[in-house]
Amino acid sequence: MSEERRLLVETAHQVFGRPGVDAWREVDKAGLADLGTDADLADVAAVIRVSAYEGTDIDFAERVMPELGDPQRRGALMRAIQIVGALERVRDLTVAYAAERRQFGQPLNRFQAVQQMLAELAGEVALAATAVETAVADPLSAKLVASAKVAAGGAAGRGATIAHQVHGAIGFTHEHQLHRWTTKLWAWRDEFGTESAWAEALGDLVARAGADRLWEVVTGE
Amino acid sequence: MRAFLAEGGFETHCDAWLSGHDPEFSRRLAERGWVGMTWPKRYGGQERSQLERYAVLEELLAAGAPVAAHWIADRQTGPLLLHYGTEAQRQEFLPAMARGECFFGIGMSEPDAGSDLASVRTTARRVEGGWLLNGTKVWTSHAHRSHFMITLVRTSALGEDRHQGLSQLVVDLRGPGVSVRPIELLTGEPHFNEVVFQDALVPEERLVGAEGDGWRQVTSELAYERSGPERFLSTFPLLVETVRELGPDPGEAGARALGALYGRLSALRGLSMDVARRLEAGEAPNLEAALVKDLGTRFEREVVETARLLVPPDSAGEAFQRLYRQAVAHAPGFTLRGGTNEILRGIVARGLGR
Ligand SMILES: Cc1cc2nc3c(=O)[nH]c(=O)nc-3n(C[C@H](O)[C@H](O)[C@H](O)COP(=O)(O)OP(=O)(O)OC[C@H]3O[C@@H](n4cnc5c(N)ncnc54)[C@H](O)[C@@H]3O)c2cc1C
Repeated sequence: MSEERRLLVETAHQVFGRPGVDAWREVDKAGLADLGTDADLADVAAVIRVSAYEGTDIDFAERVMPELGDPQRRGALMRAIQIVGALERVRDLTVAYAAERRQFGQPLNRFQAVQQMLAELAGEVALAATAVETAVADPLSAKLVASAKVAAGGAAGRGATIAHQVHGAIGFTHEHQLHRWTTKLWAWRDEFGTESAWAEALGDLVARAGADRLWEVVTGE
Repeated sequence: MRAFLAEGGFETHCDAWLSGHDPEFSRRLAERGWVGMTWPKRYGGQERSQLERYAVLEELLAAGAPVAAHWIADRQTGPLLLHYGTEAQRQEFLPAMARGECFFGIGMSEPDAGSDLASVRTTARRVEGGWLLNGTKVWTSHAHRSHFMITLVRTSALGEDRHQGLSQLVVDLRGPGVSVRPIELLTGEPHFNEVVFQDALVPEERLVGAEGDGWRQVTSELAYERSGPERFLSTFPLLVETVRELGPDPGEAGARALGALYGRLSALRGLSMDVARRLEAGEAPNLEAALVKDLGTRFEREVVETARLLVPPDSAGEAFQRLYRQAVAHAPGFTLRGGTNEILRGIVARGLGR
């Protein structure tokens, strides 16, 4: 990550971390205003990701991604980025809770069944994050955006399930903060096409290319 | 039964056995003899078989009917009292339960005793005229609208064996020294509670079974709690709407997915009914009950995932969308309540080695 982007991300964590503020105005005030139309999409994506991590629900897509054309594809990329941000928060909350909560005289993260869940959660987040970063680097590629929504949508569901399982009953309450992210994950994975809608498009693409060109499709040639 | 359900008077819900709390509906069911139906007639029951009861439960669950108010009393507290209760306790509670007028909650979990149930700390000290309770129960479903709670307490100090010294008491939720604070589900619905005892005096005769025998009693209760059809039918109403949305020609992928769910559901029913038969025969099929719950709750989730991948939720009909949202928001509870799936699998794995 470049020094500028690191700074941007840091600032974004601070402005979005504050409750009850108009997110767009805060972004403006913090000097992130040049996230307008000609901003580097990777910068925009980094800010969107942080907004979701901090639990702020904003819709940048209209303002910052018009050049991406097709509104369905643009929306899918936007949601995939948000899903990654929310999943990172869910992972951090879950890892912290598993270290803190004790049963049978041990922290939960000492139980192998819980370790398996934590590892699976981390894997889902890493996979979705990579798929999304790849799509952000080449956002006009239908294939990459579709792959990002498939990965993020799948990770959203599986990740939320694991997070709730590890948190036990307390995470199932309104008082606990976990639901602020998991309910969004459940909504975002369905918006602008579920995994199955995007997987179908990808599957068509693969089938049309044919068996002998499959590897080329995978390597992006 | 189907005619009664067709009359309606309720809205179909996913997970209605846990969250559809409607005392009036429970009373209407009870009037027709569908609450406590296996119990002896002298306690207000119908002396029907477990399998007849099973058929009734399935119909109610498939219809997504609001049966939560009486569910716990009918499923486990009634049988517990029949097994371990005194004659006076049976006389006092069973007929009222069977009329759909007396609702029970389960007071097992505590803030520090979730999966590790044997570490309960709520104490009951013997005093003149009864037991003096101090401690906190939590996650008690519907305690704020139930009459009594069957409560697991420590009646002698924690010793070497943590399973010793536990007992069960029937606690009046409106009694002295008992305070009930509702806790909302993540959806904002009131559902479970924190129940705090501060020098709560519980009459002597409210002890269920033998003092110190609580662990064994609770374990036997759990076989009833874990093996019923509610452990795989919580999302059945969504499956109905999925089939409706897909129509008579669901396409190849749709047919395959529906067929897979159907096959699994049929097998689960068989497994769960088998546990019901064994309970009726007086056995304690704890391992099998744990299996049913692990498999069944995963099936309930599979229904939700299959539904959303076959029917794009955002463009589906109103009924689908409503049931889908309920199912998604309630799903985290499926694999936690009544013992988490990780704990259940431990029970199964240890049992297999025997
Ligand atoms: C909707 C709902 C209704 C409920 N209603 C009631 C009720 O009416 N009465 C009542 O008494 N209780 C009720 N409960 C509580 C329920 O029984 C507990 O949630 C459950 O026993 C788990 O305890 P916990 O939530 O404290 O999670 P914890 O025990 O803290 O577990 C957290 C996570 O760690 C895992 N874990 C813990 N120990 C181990 C281990 N040794 N090995 C592997 N993994 C482990 C668990 O599987 C879980 O994934 C209800 C819960 C829910 C969600």
